[in-house]
Amino acid sequence: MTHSRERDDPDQHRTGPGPAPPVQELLRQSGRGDRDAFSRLYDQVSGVLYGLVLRVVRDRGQSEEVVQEVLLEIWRQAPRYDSTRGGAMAWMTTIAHRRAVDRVRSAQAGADREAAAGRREVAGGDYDSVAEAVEDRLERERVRRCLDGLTDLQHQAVTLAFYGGHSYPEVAQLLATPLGTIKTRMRDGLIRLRDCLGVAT
Amino acid sequence: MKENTHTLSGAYALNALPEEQAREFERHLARCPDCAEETRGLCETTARMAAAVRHEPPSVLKARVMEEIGAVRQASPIVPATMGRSSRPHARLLAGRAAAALLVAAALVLGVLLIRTNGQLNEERVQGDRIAAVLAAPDARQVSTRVGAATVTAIYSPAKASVVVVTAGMPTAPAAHDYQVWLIGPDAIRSAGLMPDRPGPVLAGPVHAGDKLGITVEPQGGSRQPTTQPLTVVALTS
Ligand SMILES: [Zn+2]
Repeated sequence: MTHSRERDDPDQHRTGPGPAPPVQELLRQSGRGDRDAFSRLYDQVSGVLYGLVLRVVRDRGQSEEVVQEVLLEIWRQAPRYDSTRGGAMAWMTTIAHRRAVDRVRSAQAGADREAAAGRREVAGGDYDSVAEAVEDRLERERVRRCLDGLTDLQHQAVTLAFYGGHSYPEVAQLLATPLGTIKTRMRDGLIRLRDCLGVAT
Repeated sequence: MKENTHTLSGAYALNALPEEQAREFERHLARCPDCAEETRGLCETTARMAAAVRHEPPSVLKARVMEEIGAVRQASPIVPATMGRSSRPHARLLAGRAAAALLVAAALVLGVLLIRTNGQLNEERVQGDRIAAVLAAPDARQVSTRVGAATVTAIYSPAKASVVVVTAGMPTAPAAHDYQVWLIGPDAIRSAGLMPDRPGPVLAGPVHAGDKLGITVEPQGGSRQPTTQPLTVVALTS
């Protein structure tokens, strides 16, 4: 018998030895139409998704609308979640970030918003201003400490793109830096952040 | 592909690539295991950045969402890009050592394996090594067949007496049921295990000369002998 799951051991989890992470398991069950699982998934992830959307969109009413769309999208797409391509939380975060950015880019008043947001971010990042919103203080401290370990250009490129919702050509313009440099700083900045956070790959 | 495509992983993970470039990079990911692995790690990193700005939404939102999902139809499982390219419309046998399609399929499956086995338990690594050995066997041959909209591909090495089964586009098994793989010989039918939910390869063996491969839907946990008509039966030897 070479298959990883023995026929006579139905309790063993099918995706391999050991229990799956709860969020991933709840997403998988949601993908089979299990509303109870989705309800529990909501409890676990809505804070992260709303926090991220709020960070990008910066307006509570609009952020509520966006995060509602995001959660419906997660329910709709859950059968297509493929754990071989990444973690469940990263998958949901990506959906939320894309929706938030879509909202900002479609609603933007033009260069003014970009420039204003750019100045705010370049001035040192304002993720401090959402400190009251952060429930997981340890996680926030850890991420913040690791972000502080980046070079200024890495830090600005990464936060303008992710928290500011800017595309990399916009970031290049905001920072008056060549496209190729920005692209590279985003990559080496995230790699440094990954290693500092001890993200398992 | 331009040489600097590999460096787009950071901008992609930050969702900072313009739409067209993002899709182009995704196509690159499907055939560049290095970038796929790196991008996966960087996406886990941006997920941590999201977790750092957690903020609970107003409590009324949950009731709205739970009510609305009742009206939202769920998508059907997607055909993974890894198999979509190598699938064939009809059952087809590729004998011989250097069939190009087989090499492509093997490379794609290996790409998936390299990503999957990284950082996982030894047991799964060993399984991955065994699968890789079958794919690399000089006598490996490939059979693909359609099951409805899904494709089932078997890569069989007589020398290794093993077969690797990969499916694409298979709908999720009905609630409380599993797909079970069988080796069907002239005298006996042997279980080759259950198919995992995710579209990863399954290794089955030992395969005896003359065995066919079958897949059935069985009650969760599997059966000792098939209890339903096979969805497909594939001859492994010509
Ligand atoms: Zn690459």
